[in-house]
Order: sequence, then structure tokens, then C-alpha cells
Amino acid sequence: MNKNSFFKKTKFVYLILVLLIALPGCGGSIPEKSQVTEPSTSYEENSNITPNKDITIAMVPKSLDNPVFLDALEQGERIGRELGVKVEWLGPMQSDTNVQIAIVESLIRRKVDGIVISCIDPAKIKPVINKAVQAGIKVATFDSDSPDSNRLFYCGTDNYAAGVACGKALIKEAKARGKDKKVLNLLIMTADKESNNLNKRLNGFLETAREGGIQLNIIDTLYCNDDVNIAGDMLEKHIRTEDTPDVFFSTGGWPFVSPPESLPGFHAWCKDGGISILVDTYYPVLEAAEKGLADSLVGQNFNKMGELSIKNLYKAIKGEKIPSSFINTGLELGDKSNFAKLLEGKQRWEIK
Amino acid sequence: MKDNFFKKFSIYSIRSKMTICFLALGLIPILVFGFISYHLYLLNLHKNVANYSEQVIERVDKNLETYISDIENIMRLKSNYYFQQYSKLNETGDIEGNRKYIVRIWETFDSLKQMKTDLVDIRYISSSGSAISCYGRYWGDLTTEPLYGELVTKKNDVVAIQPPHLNILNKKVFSIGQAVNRTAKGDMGIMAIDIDVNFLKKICSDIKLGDTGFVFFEKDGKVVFTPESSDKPGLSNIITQNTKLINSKNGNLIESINNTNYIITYKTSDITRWKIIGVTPEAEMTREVSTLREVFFWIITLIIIIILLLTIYLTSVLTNPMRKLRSIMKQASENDLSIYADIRTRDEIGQLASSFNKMMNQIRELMDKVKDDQQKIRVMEMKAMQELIKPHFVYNTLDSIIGLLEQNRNEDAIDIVDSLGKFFRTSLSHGREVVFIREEIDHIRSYLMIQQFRFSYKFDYLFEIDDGIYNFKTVKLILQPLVENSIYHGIRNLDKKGLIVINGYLKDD
Repeated sequence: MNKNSFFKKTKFVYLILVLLIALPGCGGSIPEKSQVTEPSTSYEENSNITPNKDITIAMVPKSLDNPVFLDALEQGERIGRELGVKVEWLGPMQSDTNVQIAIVESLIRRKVDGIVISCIDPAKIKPVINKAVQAGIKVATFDSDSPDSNRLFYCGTDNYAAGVACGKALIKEAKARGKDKKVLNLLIMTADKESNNLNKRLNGFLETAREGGIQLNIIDTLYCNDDVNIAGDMLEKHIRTEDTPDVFFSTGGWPFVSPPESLPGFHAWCKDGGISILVDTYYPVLEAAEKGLADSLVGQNFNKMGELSIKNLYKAIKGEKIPSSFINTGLELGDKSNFAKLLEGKQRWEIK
Repeated sequence: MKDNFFKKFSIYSIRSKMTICFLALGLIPILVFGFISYHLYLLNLHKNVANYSEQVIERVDKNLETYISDIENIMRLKSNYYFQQYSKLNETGDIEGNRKYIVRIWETFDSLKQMKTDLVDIRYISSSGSAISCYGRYWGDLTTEPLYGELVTKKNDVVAIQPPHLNILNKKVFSIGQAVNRTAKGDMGIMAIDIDVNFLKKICSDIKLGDTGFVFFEKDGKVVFTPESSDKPGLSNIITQNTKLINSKNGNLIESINNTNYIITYKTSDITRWKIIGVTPEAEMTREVSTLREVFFWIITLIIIIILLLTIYLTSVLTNPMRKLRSIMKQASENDLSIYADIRTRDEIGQLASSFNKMMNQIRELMDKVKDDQQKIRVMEMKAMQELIKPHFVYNTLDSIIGLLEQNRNEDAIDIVDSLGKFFRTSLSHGREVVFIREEIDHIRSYLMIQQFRFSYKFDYLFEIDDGIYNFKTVKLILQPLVENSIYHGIRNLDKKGLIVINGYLKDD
């Protein structure tokens, strides 16, 4: 068998396979049986939202209410303009997996070209991500991954590494204060139990601290549901109880979006020697840290998330190769020595 | 036919007639009253149902109007400072500068959603197609928005209503929109508020139109919204095709669909231009009437029974004396004159019985008198016979006959026997008291012939009778005493032969 003949036969086999796959789809859809009990009112969808001529990429954050994502949105929009891509920003007002799923469903119906999503619950969102992929939509994740889904790539922080950095910061602070030999009571704040990124941070933190010889006793875990409005209140309320922690660790910067003055109890606790370590280095968090509400911060780069998500998804839509299934946006480390400097490089939010 | 009826009616007994009359008198007014009342009630009920449905629809319209007014107030958001800044910066493409306003708008939208739970989404779509809503920011084509087509021709403050449809998240909503930021060139954006269709369901389910009646909305011959639980398949669609409904803004009608009558009341909403249609199955509204009809039927039945029992009792009370009297009269007619009507009522029947008793007494007295008179007549007749046929006369005549026979004068003997026979026959005259003059003359002739023989022809006799009087009548045996007296007191004492002349003539008229 010569080489040409072999390729001809292979092409023929592929052709038959393509026909076998395509033909069942050409049979037309089987009309659904009309439901006798359904009223005669017909509901038509406003299906004119997305014109077909431009590439549209929808970014789906965990919530609209959480300003940390706004950097990603703005950078995404900027990159979108550069690339001639229409960038959309759709998400639940407050973190809600079901609404997030409904939004992805709507994007599938609207046949957008790409979706970048920060997954609230990786397990629950996985089927709809796979559905979108099956519908021919390029899907990626940012900030919070759904690793078991068929998404193209994850663009964001190495969350475990962020946790490790926080753990190392704790070891350093504990040693500096001579508390590394005793059992430290730990108060944790996170958004929810499901978020993959937050759980990774938490695991990285706990494992690193323990490996570093710090004995931690978790006295409570506060779930703020990604709501910056209640996170500060939750923290302040807890700190005023008798169950006072030695260490406070938050997988995100939610409690410091509120003005530092609204956390007097926590401020006093910090002054009394409490160790406060958080993930995130956006403006209000750094501002609060500078005022003495945090000892160490490990920041994420949401700008990069927005930029790299759109750029790489655009590549994928154009049929180009994606460099990796994990696009690391890096970490920003902050402590009392560089809080002021970091703050200088940030823009005031003026939104809360 | 009328005569026929009365003929038939006349053959019934008084008792039957009275029963029929009592029933008729009792039932006819009740039936007439019942029939008129029923129809008046039904008419009134229809009016009331229509009025009630109109009120219900009016309430639905008011609720809808109030709600839409509230939504119009929310639309004032378009004048809000943050919104205006957002619009401007959005159009200029200032990403960084707009962050603050985007967040503010989302917060405002969310607050409004929290306050008004029926709101599903609030969205603003700019003329460039960039949209901001409760779910974020996206891109759309404004010109293909259903609300755009309507609003582009309207004034700025006018709202347009989009019938129920699926929103971006596939939720069933209806939308209210208003033009925003209209430029001199005609460019404009739209502020649209999506409201959960459950709101329509809620305002529809707040009302009650019988057990299965319902309210739905229609526009341009199409069903806008109908509550799923209430609508029978296709019923709303059929109703919307009614020409009267299509051609008029407000009104009511009755339509028969699948053998069921529906009272349909409708009103066109001034704001939405939707027809609010109330559908009430007539049977449910007239169920009360059916109960009434049933009650009426049982009342009538009860009344009939009562009337029947009363009629039987009353007719018995009234006709029993009559029937008793009739029976007594029948007995009387069968020759029982001893009967007595024992009826003690003081009414006409009692008076009739009393009269009957009097009559019977008189009959009895008369009968006794007649009997007595007859007995007397018999005695008299016997006496008269005895007077007439005196034994002496008979003996002498018989002796004369014997004498003739001894003398072998048989012919004479036969003549006398013949005359004697005629004499007796005429004397008896079958008991008649009045006879023809001819018979009386024949009687006297026989008598004279016998006496002539007995007195040996000592006298002759002559009859001078006018022929014209023979057929007149006279009391019988009136002449015999006269003739006898003329023989015994006249002829017998004569020495010579005497003559007895008997004249008979007609005197005057």
C-alpha cells in the first residue's frame, strides 16, 4: 500500500464518520407533544440581544456586588476593544450558583462565542459548562476554577500558592511575636464551602502553617457568601464575643471593603496582638491594612485575569493554540513594610 | 273546543269539579308568581353577574394601572444623577470613569428589586446597543427590541407595554418601557422593566368569578396572558375570536363554547391597551337559581299535596250532605216515602234537606188523603150500585123473565135479558163517572124497556134528542132517578096508559 492510497482511504473513512455524525442531526427536530394543560399564551424570547456579526465574549463573575471583580471587567473591556470583541459582564447580583447557571444557559441560547466564568460551585456549574462547550462555545474559567469540567483553561491566581504565602506569613508573624510554640486559636472567613479557589487557599494556608510548626485550633469559620456588605459586620460581631481568636485568616478581602472605622472591635483586637492575614490587595484592603487591620496580605491580579482571559479565549475562538490550561496571574505580597508603597500604585475605588 | 271542554267538565261530579277548581285556584297564582319571580330573578342575576364582573375587571384594571404608575415612577431613575453620568461615560467609552456609576446603578437596581419583588430585571439599552441590567452588562440590537418599535413613535414620557415573553434568563415576564435620552437626530435608548408574569397571575387570582371563572388579557386578537390553572385548553383563544369582543372596547356577552355558556365581560385598559376579559361559567352563577328552582319545585309539590288534602277534606265536608241527600232522594224515588233527610247544616244544603223533608211530609199526607178518598169513593160507588141496582128491581125483573120463559116467550125474555145486561154495563161504565150523552140515553132506554115490560106496557116512551148533543158528556145515571120518579110517582098511579117523553137539546152555547 503506497502512502497516497492510505491517505485517500483514511479521508474516505473520515468522510463516512462525518456523515454518520451529521446525518441524524439533519432529520429535523421532533416536535414536542403539545401540552394539553398549557395555556395558549406563547412566550417568545427576546432573542435579539446579541447580533451575530461581532465576536462576543461574556465574563461571568461570582457576583456583581463584589467589586474585586471590577478590575477584571475593566481590563477585559479594554482588551476587548483592542481585539474588536464585545465583552459582556453577566452575573448574579449576590453570589448564587443557580442564577449563575441560568446566566450560562442564557448565553448558550444567545450563542455567544466565548464564556469566562468564575465558578461559585465547581461541581454544580460543571454540567452547564460542558453543555456550552458542546454547543460550540469556547469556555474558560477565571478566579475560581471548575477543574473537572471541559473548560479550555483556568486563568487566575495559583490559589494554593496564595494560601501557602499566607501560611508562611503567619509563621513569620508568630515567630516574631513569640507565639509559634503555643496553640493559636484561628478564626477563618471565606465565601462559602464550595468555591474551589477559596478552599485551595485555605488548604495551602493551613497545611503550610502546620508544616511550619504552628498549632492551630479553628474556633469558627465565617461564611460571608461573597457579600462585602455583611462580611465586616460578621467579623466585628464575632470579635466582640468572648471566643476571641489569636489569628484571623480570610480567603478574600471582603471584610475590609467596609470603612476601617466600622470595625473598631477588630481594630482593638489587632492592637492587642491579634494576627490578621488576608488574601487580596485591592485598594480598600490595603487602606485598612495600612491603618493596622492586617499584618500580611497576599494579592491577586484581577487586571491580569481580565486581560489574559479575553486574550486567550479570543485566540481559542480564532482557532489558535492556548499556551496552557492554567494561566497564572501571579501573586502580590504585602506586609507592614510595603503597604504604603503598594497603596500608591492602586486606584481609589470610590464605589463603596 | 271551549264547548267541548265545558261538556267534558260538566260530566264530572261536583266533588271532582271542586277538586279541580281548588287545585286551579291554589296552583295557578303560585305557578304564575313563581314563573314571573324566577325569570325576574334570573334576569336580575345576569345583571348582577355582569355588574360584578365589570367591577372585578375594573379592579384588575385599577391594580394594573396602579402598578404601572409605580413602575413609571421607577422610570424616573432615568433622570437620576448616577444614571445620567453612566449614560454619558458609557457613550464616550470611559471605562475607568464609569466604574463608580456602574456599581451605583447595579445597587439601585438591586434595591428596587428588593423593594418590589415582582421586578425581575431593570435594564437600560443605549442607542449603541450597550445594555446594563440587574444581571450585568451586555450587548444588544436596540432596533429589534419589541419595545423600541412602539416607543420610537411615541412621546418621551409615554410608556409601552410588551406582552409576556421570556427574558434573558428565560423567565416569563412582561415589560414596561420608556424612551430615554432621545436626541434631536432621533437616536434614543430604552429603559425597560421586566415584571414577573406571576404578578398578572396574582392580580388575576385575587379576584373570584365563581369556582372556575377567571380573568385573562388579550391584545389584537391574541392572548396576552391567561392563568394556567384556570384556563381550559384553548378557551381563551376561542373567546378572543368573538367578533363583538374584537369590535368593541368594553361590554359583555354570553358565548356558548363546547355546550357551556360563559358570561364574558371585557374592558380595554387605557394604559396597556390590553383587553381585560372576565370569564364566568353561567352554570356556576345560576347554581343558586338551580337551588331556588329545586326549592320552588318542592314547595310547589308540598303545596299541591296540602291543596289536595284540603280539597279532599273540604269537598268531603261540602259534598257529603249533598251526596247523602242524593242517596235519600234516590231511595225516595224508589217509593220509599218513609225516608227522612237527617242533615243538620244551616247552609243551602241544610235548607234543601229541610224543604225535601217538608215535601216528603206533604207527599205522605197527600198519599194518605188519596188513599182515604179512594176508599170513600169505593164505598160511595158500592152505595150507588146498591142504590142503582135495587134488589127489588132486580128480583121483579128476574121474576118477569122467569114468567116469560114459562110462557115460552123466549124472544121477549131474550130482549129483557139483553136490556138488563146493557143496563148493568152502562151502570158500571168501567168505573167512569162521566159518560157520553149517547151512552146515558142507551142506559135509560134499557131501563125504560125493562120497566115497560114490568109495568105491562102501561106507558110508552119517547126520545126527542137532538143529534148534536150525543157526543157531549154528562155525569152518568143522571137521568135514571128522573125516569124512575116519573114511573113510580106518575105513571103507576094512572088509570090509563102513560107516556114518558125524554127531551134532549142544546141550550145556548
